[in-house]
Amino acid sequence: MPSLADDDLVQMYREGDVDAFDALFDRYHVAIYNFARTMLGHSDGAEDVLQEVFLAVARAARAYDARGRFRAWLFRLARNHCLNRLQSDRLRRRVIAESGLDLADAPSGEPSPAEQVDRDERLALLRQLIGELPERQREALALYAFEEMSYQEIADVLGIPLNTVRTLIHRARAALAQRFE
Amino acid sequence: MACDIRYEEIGEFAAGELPAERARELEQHLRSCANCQRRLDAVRAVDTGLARLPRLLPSPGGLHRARRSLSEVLRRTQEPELMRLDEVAEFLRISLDELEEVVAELPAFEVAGQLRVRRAKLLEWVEARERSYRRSSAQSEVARAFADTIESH
Repeated sequence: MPSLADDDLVQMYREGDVDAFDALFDRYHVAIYNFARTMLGHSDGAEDVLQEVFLAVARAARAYDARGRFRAWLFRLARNHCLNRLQSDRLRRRVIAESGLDLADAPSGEPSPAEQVDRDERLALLRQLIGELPERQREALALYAFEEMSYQEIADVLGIPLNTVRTLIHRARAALAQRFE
Repeated sequence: MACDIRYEEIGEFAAGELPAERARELEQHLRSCANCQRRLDAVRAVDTGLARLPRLLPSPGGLHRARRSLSEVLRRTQEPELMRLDEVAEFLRISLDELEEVVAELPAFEVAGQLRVRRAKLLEWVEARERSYRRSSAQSEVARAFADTIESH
């Protein structure tokens, strides 16, 4: 079903066509995984988010208001799941720090062996630097650079004004460039 | 032009987002300012890097887990909420004739002369029968144990 629009696939799924849902999963799972990976900085959490987001889509598909904005809706769901997870990660780290326990089982920011695809050192450095950007710059940049979303679409996903999106992205690029000089 | 150019503005220039007149001024400035030229090179290197950064893939195990949970949810969401009697019989793994024996107990309702059962109600009914069966099995067990005890005396 490669030629069908997202909204058509959602409609087919609502009418009982499970293959249409599989087509949506095939179309977006890598993008959602990469967005979550950029937001969270670790692969385990990103895989959990991938699963949670598509489960949420399956359950909420009837509530989706089909106006050609499926991608923005999907990424909004992904963002919410990532923010929830970041919040509980932060809480968990605080509890561990306050309790004086070590962080041996906390998720590390290191890429897993399966992810060691950035053979070029500069690309590896760039990915690491993106992970160090402030959260809001990181999410805006991920949508802009990896999803090639327009400023308007990013504004829809993040629920912020278009000019703020532009500022976040240019600040992120400038921050990365400063480290790249 | 004094070199008080913001880094962000160089980024906007590289992205082609500056107004034409400002872009021309900056272009001119870049010819004589090694500092800004270096910044422009760095912004371009970042943009190239972003475009070349490979997509990461979830692990085969993670992908399998996601697909499996999804298929379970999809199966449940696609099942009809209202069931006909033949679907109820199929769900209970019995024949329609066998269903006849318990049809009066089913949480059914009538619409246009046809019986329908809500899936959620049917599941509750099954659970109630499970509980009742467990109770009666336990009672039979106690009764058997009691009879054995009496017999051995």
